[in-house]
Amino acid sequence: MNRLHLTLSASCLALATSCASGPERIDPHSDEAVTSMGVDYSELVEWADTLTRRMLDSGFLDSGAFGEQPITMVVSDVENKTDLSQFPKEVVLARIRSAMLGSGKARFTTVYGDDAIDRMTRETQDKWEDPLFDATQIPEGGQAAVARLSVRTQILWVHAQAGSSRQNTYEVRMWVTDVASGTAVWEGLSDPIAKKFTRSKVGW
Amino acid sequence: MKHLLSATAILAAAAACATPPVNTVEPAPPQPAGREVWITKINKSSTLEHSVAVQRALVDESEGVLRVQLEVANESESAQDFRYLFEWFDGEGLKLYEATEGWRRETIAPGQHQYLRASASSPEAADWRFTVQKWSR
Repeated sequence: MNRLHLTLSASCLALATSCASGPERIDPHSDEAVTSMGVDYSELVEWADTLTRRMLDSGFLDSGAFGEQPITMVVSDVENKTDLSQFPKEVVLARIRSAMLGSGKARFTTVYGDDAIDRMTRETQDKWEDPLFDATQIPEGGQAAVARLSVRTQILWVHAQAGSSRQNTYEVRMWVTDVASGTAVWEGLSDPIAKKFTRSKVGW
Repeated sequence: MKHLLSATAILAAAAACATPPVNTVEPAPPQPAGREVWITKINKSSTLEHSVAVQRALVDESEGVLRVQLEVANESESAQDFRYLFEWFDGEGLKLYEATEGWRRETIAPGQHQYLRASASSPEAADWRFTVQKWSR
């Protein structure tokens, strides 16, 4: 009897070991990456690439209408209209901002807006009366750049269901406003990301 | 008889899943604004070379950044899932950091032509490389 228990236990252990998979580092762009019904990492990078290219290719930054390059921009609201409560908007915005800065055509303010704010510009001004600091090193006020262009973003989602199949389609809508005139000077969309899942008809 | 039925069922299932081929009609292409460039190919897979065949490469630098457009065609009989990557290099051949760099996925139907476009965000970009690989859904 004991021998039977031992054999069974050993078999279960062997089975569990063969099925288990420990953490392993993978290429997030490879086929090994998990594909979910939401938007996955490589798709966020793809969105950033598409939107950056469309913005830079459109030529509005080269028109001369918004002053000398680099033109100061600000990230306005990012509206998540999807079923994903924690949408990682920073993965997209960080790449767009970095690529725009690298292009030499635009740069983003970090003093205000809805992404990657650095409060240190403002806090540095507050050090005037703090005896701990050498006040001569504090930059004069009135130097912070005011953004001429504002980038507003919506993450859109369409859900469809038929029989045992479900589909989620996501896309990003982005537009740039000239804050002087209040009119959009560029509007664009990402390519859609569509995910389909069909539930098995055989139940367990 | 059983074998015949099974074979028919498999064939029917395969046909249902297959992407139908596409026919394309277009006027003769106009003289491109960009510069058509010779391309050097390093092929490890003859199947992929046939199914995602790069037919034309156009390069444009008129806007102060390097822009590339590749025309690819699927000359095979089945739809192909592929992913591709554009990399950018400066005039010295050093690879440039691009924040938006990453593999992109596409599906191309049999007979279909697609244009793959990419722009370097850095004005230092002087050269490029395109890599293509099969993608498993």
